[in-house]
Amino acid sequence: MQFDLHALYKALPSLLVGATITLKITSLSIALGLCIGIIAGLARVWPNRVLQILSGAYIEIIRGTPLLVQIFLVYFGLPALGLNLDPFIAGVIAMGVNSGAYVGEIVRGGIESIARGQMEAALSLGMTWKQAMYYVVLPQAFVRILPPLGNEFIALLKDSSLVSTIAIAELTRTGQIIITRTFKSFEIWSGVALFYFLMTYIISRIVRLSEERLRYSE
Amino acid sequence: MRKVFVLFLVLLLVSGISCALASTLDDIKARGKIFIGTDATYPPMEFHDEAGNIIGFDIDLGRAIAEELGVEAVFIDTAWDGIFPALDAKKFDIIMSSTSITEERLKSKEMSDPYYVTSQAIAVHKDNDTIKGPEDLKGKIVAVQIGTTGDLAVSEMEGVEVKRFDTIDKAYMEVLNGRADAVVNDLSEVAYRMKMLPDMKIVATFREGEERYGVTMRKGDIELLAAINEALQRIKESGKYDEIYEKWFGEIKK
Repeated sequence: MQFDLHALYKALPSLLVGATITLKITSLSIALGLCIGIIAGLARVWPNRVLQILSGAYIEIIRGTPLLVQIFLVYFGLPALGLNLDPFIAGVIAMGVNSGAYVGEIVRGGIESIARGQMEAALSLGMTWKQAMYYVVLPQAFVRILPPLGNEFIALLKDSSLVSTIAIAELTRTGQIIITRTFKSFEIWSGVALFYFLMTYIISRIVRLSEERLRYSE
Repeated sequence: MRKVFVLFLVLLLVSGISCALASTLDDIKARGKIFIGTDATYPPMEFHDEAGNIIGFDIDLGRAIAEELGVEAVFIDTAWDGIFPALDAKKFDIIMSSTSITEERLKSKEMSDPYYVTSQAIAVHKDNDTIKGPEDLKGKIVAVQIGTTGDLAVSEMEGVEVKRFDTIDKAYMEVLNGRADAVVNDLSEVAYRMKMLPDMKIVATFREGEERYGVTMRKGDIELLAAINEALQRIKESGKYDEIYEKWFGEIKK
C-alpha cells in the first residue's frame, strides 16, 4: 500500500469546491441556529411558564433525536405536507433547527451561571426584569457562552457531512464521488479530513481570539 | 400572527390542489426543463468526470429524451438509497440511474419500456478460485449496493451473508481489503470497473438478460410515460441510440 500523492493533488480543486459548500451551509446553519438558540435560551429563563415549557419541549425533542433523522424528515418528509425544499435549503433548516436547541442550552447555562445575587441586586435597584437581564446578566453571560458556542460551531461543521446523504455536493460527498471514480480511499479521505481540520482550526482560532478580546475589555 | 398562519395554510392547500391538477408532463413543458434524478457513482452509466461534470450512457440518453420532448435536461445528483423517496417527494420528474424494471418497483412507480439490457455479474479477487457461479456464494460474504437488483438477487439466496453499502465502489473495496468474497452487481457496471481494478475478475454472470433498465416515474404519470416511451422509440429508430451505445460500450459486443 502506497500513498498516491498525485491522486490527492489532482483531487484538491474539487475538494476545495466541496469545502466552500460545507463552509456555506455551516455558516448559514450557524446563523439560523444562533437566532433560534438565543430565543430558545432566553425563553427558558423568561418568567413566563408557557414560554419555558415550549422552549423546553423544543430543546428536548431536538436533542433527543438524531440529526440524520431530522435531515430526512425535512427533506423527504415535509413534501407530504406540500413543502418541497431543495436539498441545500432543507440542509440549512435541519442543521439550523438542530443547532438552535444546543445553542439554547448553552445560552440558558450561561445566564444561569451568573450569580443570582446580580439579578436580585439589579431588581432591588429598581430595574425591571428585562432591564436587569439586558444590562446586567447578559453582558456577563456572553463571555461565558463563547467557548461552548465555539465547540458547537465546530461540531456543527463536522456534522454537516451528514447532508451528503441528501446529495448536497459538500466536502464529504465530493470525496465520495471522487473515490467512486478513482478508488483512492486512503488518499481522498485523508484530503477530506485535512480540509475539515483546517476549517475547524480556523473557527477555533477565531473563537479564541474573540474570547481574549472580550476578557481584555472587561 | 394568526392571520399569517391561516394565509399560510390556505396557500399550502391551494398549491397542493394546483399540483394535483397539473400533470408532470405539463409542468415539464411549462418550465422548459425536465429534472432527472441520478446517482452519479456508477460508471459508465452515470458518473462524474474529473472536472466534476455528470457524464455517462444514461446522461446522454436522458439528453436525447429531453430533446425529443423539446425541453432541456437538468440532472440532479442524488444518493441511490434516497432516490425513490426523492422522486415521490417531487425532487425531480424522472429517474435515470441504471434502474432495472422489477415487479416490486412497478407496484409503486411507472417505468418506461426497457432501454438497456444486462445481467448480474459476480466479481471476486483474482486469486480466488472457490467461486465459479451463483451456487458457490453459499456460505460466503457478498458485498452489494443497497436496494439494487444485485442486492435483491443475493438476499434471496440461502446461506449468503450480504454486506450492503450506499455506493457500489465500497463493495469492491471490501473485496480488495479481504472483508468480503465477492461483489454482485449489474454486468454493465462490473465490466467497466474491471478495467480499473486489475486485482479483480468476473467469474460468472446470471439472470442473463433479466436486468432491463427503464426510466422511472411517479405512479400515475401516464401521460409522461407515454411521451417518454414514444421518445425512446424515436431515438432507437433514428440511430441516435446506437450512437450513444457505441460511445460508452464501444468495445462491448451488442
